[in-house]
Amino acid sequence: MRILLLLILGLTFDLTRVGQGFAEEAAGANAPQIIELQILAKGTGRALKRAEVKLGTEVFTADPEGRVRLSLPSPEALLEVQRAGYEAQFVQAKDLWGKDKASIYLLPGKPDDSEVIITGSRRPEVSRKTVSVKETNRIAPGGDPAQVTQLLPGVQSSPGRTDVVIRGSGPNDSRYFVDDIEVPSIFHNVANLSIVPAQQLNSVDFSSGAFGVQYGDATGGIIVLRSVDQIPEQPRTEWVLNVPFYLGIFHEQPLSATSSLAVSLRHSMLEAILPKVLPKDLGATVVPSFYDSFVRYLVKDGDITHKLTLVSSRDGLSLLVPSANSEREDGRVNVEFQNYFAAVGLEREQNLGDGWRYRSTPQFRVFRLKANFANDNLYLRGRTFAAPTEFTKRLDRNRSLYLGVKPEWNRVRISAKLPVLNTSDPYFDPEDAQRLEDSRTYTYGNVSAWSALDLGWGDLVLTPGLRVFQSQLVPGQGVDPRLQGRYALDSEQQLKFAVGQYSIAPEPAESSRKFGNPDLGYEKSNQYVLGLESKWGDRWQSEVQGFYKKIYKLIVAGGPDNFQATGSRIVYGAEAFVRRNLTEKFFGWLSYTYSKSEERKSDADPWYRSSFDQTHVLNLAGSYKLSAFWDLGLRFKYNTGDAYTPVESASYNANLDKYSPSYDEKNPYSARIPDFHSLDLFATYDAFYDRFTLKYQWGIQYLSLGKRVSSVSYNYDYSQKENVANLPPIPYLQISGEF
Amino acid sequence: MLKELLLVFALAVPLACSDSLSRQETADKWKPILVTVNELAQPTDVYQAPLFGNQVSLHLYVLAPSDSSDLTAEVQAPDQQPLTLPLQTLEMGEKTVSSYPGVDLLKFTAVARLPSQTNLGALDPSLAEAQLLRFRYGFLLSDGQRTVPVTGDFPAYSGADIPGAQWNVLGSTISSPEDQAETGQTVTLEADLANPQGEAIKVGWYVSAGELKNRRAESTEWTLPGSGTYTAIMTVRGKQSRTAQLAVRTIKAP
Repeated sequence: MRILLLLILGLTFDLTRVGQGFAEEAAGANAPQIIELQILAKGTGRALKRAEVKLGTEVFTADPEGRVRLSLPSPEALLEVQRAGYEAQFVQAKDLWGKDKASIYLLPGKPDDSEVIITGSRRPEVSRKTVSVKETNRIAPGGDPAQVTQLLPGVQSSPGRTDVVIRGSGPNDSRYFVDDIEVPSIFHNVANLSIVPAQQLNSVDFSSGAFGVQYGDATGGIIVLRSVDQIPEQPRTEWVLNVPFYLGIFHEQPLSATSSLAVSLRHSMLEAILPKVLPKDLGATVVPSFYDSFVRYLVKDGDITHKLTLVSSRDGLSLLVPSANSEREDGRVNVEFQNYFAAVGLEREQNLGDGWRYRSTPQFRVFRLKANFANDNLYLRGRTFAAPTEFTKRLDRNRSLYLGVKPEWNRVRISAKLPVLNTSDPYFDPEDAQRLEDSRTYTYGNVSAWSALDLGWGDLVLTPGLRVFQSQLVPGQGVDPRLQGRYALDSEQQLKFAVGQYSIAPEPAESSRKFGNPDLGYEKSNQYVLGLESKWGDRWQSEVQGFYKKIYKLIVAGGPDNFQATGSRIVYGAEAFVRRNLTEKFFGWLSYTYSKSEERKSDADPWYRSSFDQTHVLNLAGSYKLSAFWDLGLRFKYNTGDAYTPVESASYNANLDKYSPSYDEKNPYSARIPDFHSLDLFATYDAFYDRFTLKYQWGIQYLSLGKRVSSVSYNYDYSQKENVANLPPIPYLQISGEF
Repeated sequence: MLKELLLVFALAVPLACSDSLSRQETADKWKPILVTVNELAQPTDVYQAPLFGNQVSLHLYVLAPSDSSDLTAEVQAPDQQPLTLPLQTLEMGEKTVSSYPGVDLLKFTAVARLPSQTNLGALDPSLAEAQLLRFRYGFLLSDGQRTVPVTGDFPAYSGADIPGAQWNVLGSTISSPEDQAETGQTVTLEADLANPQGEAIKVGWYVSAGELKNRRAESTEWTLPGSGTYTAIMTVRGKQSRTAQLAVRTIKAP
């Protein structure tokens, strides 16, 4: 409370200062004066070149250092200092009188709604959306860029879920990248934070399916966090204090006219705060923790760009929860997760001339995953070396050729002490099951190559492509043909379509001779997309898409080798996306997805609702900038409740003194938790000091009408069921500084 | 596989914490609490392991609120599944009721004759030389309104000298409090476990009323709801031998 009062006092004090645009110095003498003014941006202290100072009928223009030298005729003279994008300042000469030098700070201008900020677009794809960090800063609480992927069409949502389910495909069926460096996930396990802070990012690319041939080993979607690729003009430091979640610092430094270095580090505070604030009699101890670091060394020298990137992230979760199955004295069960990865990659992009470009990113990645539940544990370690390389040749105005290759070497070690699953035993209970205690190392290579061609005929552009690949985990090679097309109906509307085949290799444990089935092939998916993209003036744009996806040779548990490639899943639906383009004042979008997802374990089995089926997902996100200081935002989310398989009955297991549930296996996922909705409100206030800015963000997350349910829970004998409430509304405060 | 394992882990957490609705240890309604196989008639008797061709006796214990006389038990054929053989010849015997303060303890007796080695060979030639087989039993408890299936299994041997045949946890009892003891509002329950072979065992405490700190602990605290006379029941199971023991204490709180 004391901290909050201090912050409010600080803010009040700051409000009284915002009109003071210049630094006062000692009073001068009473004769005409020559003075050197330096015009600077308030909040950063950055020099404003080409700023103008009007003195009577004369106009003086600032040099690249923001300096203007002029003669003040008398103390009664009035100076007007202005620059586009900043509020004009009127300065009385008497306030400068007697000084040789003075600094004048200009406040950022009032938000302008007349200018649409254009964000760049990359190689066009049918189902890809690019959101710039400028945009994510406006609608994501805390400004976290990757959060916006959960607001886009095609992305399913569940309370507390930090992984990404795209068009009915599980999180492991999608791929995540930081530039061209593949990472196992893009979110931390808490606070919906992405692993790379906003300051390091330029944009987020999101493909909900039917992506191009440059991406493979995925049947879901692709998310790419694009890091900054511009040399900064001057050093910049930012820090963030987010209560109660984390503390972070970022520094960016130009090293020369062609190179720069950026470093960021974030660490959670939850592990320090939670044990102190959780009620002692709660019985449960929950300690989540995380950190991430990101280093970017950028060199842009003519036609060659080098970007050396180091990214690392660790998430931990430790739970001590009361359990009737505990063998501890305090009646609790210990659950621990740890997830760590690090990657280093050197991206080289070069214009080779004659229409040729290439980009290559050799990279080395490591990961560790630890999971302990009571006396069982799982430990995975892996190393990967990969070198994706793509050449692009612009053949002429209407045609471009893409050629790529990605060799990859992997080494994965799995150590586990786990119950041996026996799905054919109706009395199976993990507590009573045999334990498998083993360690295995898998070394395998993957190689893929692709080619695509943009072919333009008038208003029609077709992009046929082919991806060939081989994994040592799978017998034989694979070939995925894909075709994308765009047809401009007029200057405002574009018809888009895509059709293609997508493949994903089984995981090492699934194809292992020890744990699984070495004869498993690639999971396959055929995807079809048809969409219409429309522009409504320069402010609004919309897009509707229909999609159909069939996944076959789906790996399901069962059979003599634990896994068999007999399953199928179909997903179909439609997405709508209405976006109000970014202006300084207003930005927002509405996205809606309708989808159905069904699955079967073999061709002989009936179709049933898939675990990822979510009929309706609606997101509304918006931000309105009231002034140079105040920004208000909201996010509203609604989705159909998650599906689950209800318990039909339960029997008393006399061996273990507990009840064993019997699930309604004939109707898997036939029940749903109640539909979910929540409203997040947030406000941002920028306090500009001469050479630094403090940004205060307040917000409240998870506002709702009625109880928000995250799952269902049964009592000890499965005779009663109750909805488990999700998090209550959580207020938060974030203070960040930039200097 | 990783996906499935993580899913199991993720599901295990809420399942492990699913005790908020009601508690297993109290006698708020009738509930099965133990099945013993070849239990000792007298504490001084010697344990007789189930042997092929011999008769085996099972006792199903049910904790119930006082006056639950309508409760019946019948044999229910268990599902076929590969690791155990269904016990085909099980027949229900007598039902006895022991009344304790605040709770009844019902005991249903059933007997079966295990198939001989010869019969097993005739059933399946691969079983002709078996030294150890697991037999699965099933009961159905019902009071006319609610039914609860009960299932479990036990090992049977071709001879009493087969390694493991004599393993048992019989003789386990409650060391604290003493029977009929006068106590405070918080009682320490403590088991004296007989586990000469050091097998994995599982303790389960049941009480007529009140709250237990950890019903799985060898020693735990029992908070009484007020003054009165209460009953505590301890069950212990050997996870390998499938032998089990039950002990009862009544106490008085001022």
